[in-house]
Amino acid sequence: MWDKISHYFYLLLQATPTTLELTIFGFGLGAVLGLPLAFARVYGGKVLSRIVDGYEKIFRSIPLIVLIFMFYFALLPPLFDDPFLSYLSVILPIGLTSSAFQSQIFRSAIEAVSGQQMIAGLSLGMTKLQVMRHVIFPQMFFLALPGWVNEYANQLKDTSWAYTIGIPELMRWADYIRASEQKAGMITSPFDLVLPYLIASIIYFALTYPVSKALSEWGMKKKKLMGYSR
Amino acid sequence: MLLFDYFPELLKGLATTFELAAIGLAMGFVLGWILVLLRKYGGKVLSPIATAYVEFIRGTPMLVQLFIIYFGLVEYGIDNFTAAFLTLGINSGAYQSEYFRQGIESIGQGQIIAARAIGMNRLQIIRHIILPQAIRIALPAWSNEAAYLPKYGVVAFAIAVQDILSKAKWIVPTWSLSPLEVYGMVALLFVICISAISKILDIVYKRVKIPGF
Amino acid sequence: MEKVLKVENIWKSYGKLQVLKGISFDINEGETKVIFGPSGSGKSTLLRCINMLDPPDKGKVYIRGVDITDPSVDLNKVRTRIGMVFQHFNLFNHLTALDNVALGLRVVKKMPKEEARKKAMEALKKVRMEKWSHHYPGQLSGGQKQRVGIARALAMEPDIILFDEPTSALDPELIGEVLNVMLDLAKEKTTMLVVTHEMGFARSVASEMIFIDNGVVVERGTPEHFFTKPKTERVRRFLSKIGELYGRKGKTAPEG
Repeated sequence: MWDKISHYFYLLLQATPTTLELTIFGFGLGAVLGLPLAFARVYGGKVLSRIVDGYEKIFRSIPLIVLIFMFYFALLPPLFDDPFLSYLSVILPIGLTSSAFQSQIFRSAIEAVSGQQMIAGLSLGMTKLQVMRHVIFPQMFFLALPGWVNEYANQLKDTSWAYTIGIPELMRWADYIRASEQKAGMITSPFDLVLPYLIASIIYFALTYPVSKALSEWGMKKKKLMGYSR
Repeated sequence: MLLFDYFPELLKGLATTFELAAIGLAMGFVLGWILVLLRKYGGKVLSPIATAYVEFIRGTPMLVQLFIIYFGLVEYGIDNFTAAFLTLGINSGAYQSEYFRQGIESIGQGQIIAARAIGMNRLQIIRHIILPQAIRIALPAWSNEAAYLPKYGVVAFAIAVQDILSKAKWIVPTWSLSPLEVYGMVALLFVICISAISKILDIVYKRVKIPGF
Repeated sequence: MEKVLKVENIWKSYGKLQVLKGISFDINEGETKVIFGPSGSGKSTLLRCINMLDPPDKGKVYIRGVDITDPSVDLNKVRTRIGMVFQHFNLFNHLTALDNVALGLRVVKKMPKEEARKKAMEALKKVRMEKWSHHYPGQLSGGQKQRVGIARALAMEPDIILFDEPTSALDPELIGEVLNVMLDLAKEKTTMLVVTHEMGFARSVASEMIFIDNGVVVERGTPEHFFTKPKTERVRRFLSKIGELYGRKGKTAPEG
């Protein structure tokens, strides 16, 4: 049995880079979109604020799989073929969805940085943009860190949806292992059926938990140092 | 219009999705409280187990959890609907327990000391001081969970439960429609429903929150 | 006659830090005694030892002759006889002022709801907060919150009330209203043990003042004694520092 387990591990670890790729690109896109959205919402005035709010509400409510299908079956086929088609059909929806969540995270971090900081910066003669860049952003970064890392973990988990359109990431491989074992008649107990998924879940956990814990604790330490308690 | 032909089917699927979410939320509520109480008062053995459970569930995809539950129990005759709401319940319980825990922990030690100083015992303190406040403090975060659970509920699609996504997938070829239209409609429905639920819970919170906060 | 409170040779440490090193004193019926001294000298710890929220490592505490450090004692029952007022008020945020005061009566003393509320209202009247009975802590100022805290302790009809720096967390203009309530209580012969820096209060009503530094009682005596000829150098230094802050004769509670 241990041979089987280590064999599954070996196979599934091969799928891990794909999962990570999808996550990094999708989450990265989310950050690139989310950060300006957050700043726009806080400093951009009433109309812009409302628009961003609407954007956030929309992309937080739509299930990721629905977006994936929209891109894969309708929006992207005229433009791309496989492999780009399937990869982009996951990366773009993750980017859009994540940008909505990240925008929220950055926004509350920006708002938590005392408004007095902006006043202090302006009184030195800095422009709004300079204050944002040199004063607000560095502090906001640490305040946002725990929530941001949490969001990263969420998107990593969401890449499991990519299995529905055939991308060879963790979930797909686990499913494939289970299906082929079934076909080969190698299943003797429910445990056998479940094993590939169990191992996949262990890998997912290893990808999310340590990073989450370490970075959010680092962020909390820095938070305290900067004088923000809790 | 073609819309009216398939729309009822879509709504049937939506109803199933919400049904799953409601059951999952309720299960998660009970499980969530059990988990917090174990974590806070469970002692050296139960407390770490509860914590490990919560961290593991939160660190793994719901899809994987669903497959583990489904394939683990299929031999014992579980049907896919049950597997789906069990997964939602188990998953939501872990997240809800976190919100309840944050609610409990934000009640300062000071109030607990004051309660002990007038002679209240632990059970009385939990019942009269901690719970009434923790529930109200946790409400905004919990409302988030409640409103968004239907969105996560579409996992059920993966094991062929007749939820809104399964219906949508079937509708596209059956009525020869553009995927964009049908999935777009699904997206729209989610946005409307979730916004409505959020709004309602928001109003509830405003009524119920501790005055002065 | 039996002392209301007798504290005998209290020792308490946290890890390697010895916070209390053999504190002893007692209080008679109707007396008000003030404990003062530098921060970190163990004063708050001492109060928590007295109502056994943080039991002492060594030593005994007697309430009307009953040894409450004895393990067979029902502490929850004992605590209904010792009232406590906290530096940070510690009111129950989700309850109105009235319910804050009534909760202990209802849940611990098992009073029926109406009777508890009546008693609570009486206590609130004593601290002049009856008009605010339906307000929540989040809607009250610091001084108002502290008065509710005092009412909460009073309502339980304890043998003695412990005050842990009751005005230290208040804005200066709010200190007066709390001190006035405490002066009233002292004049009505409520038995009180107060940890405070308010020297004016101590001068008015304390039958004895106890100076604690580094976990030991350094000096004790009447207020008269302390303000005219304190014995030890440490006390003299401490009083002069307070004198700098508050003016030569120490702060007197303002009227109203």
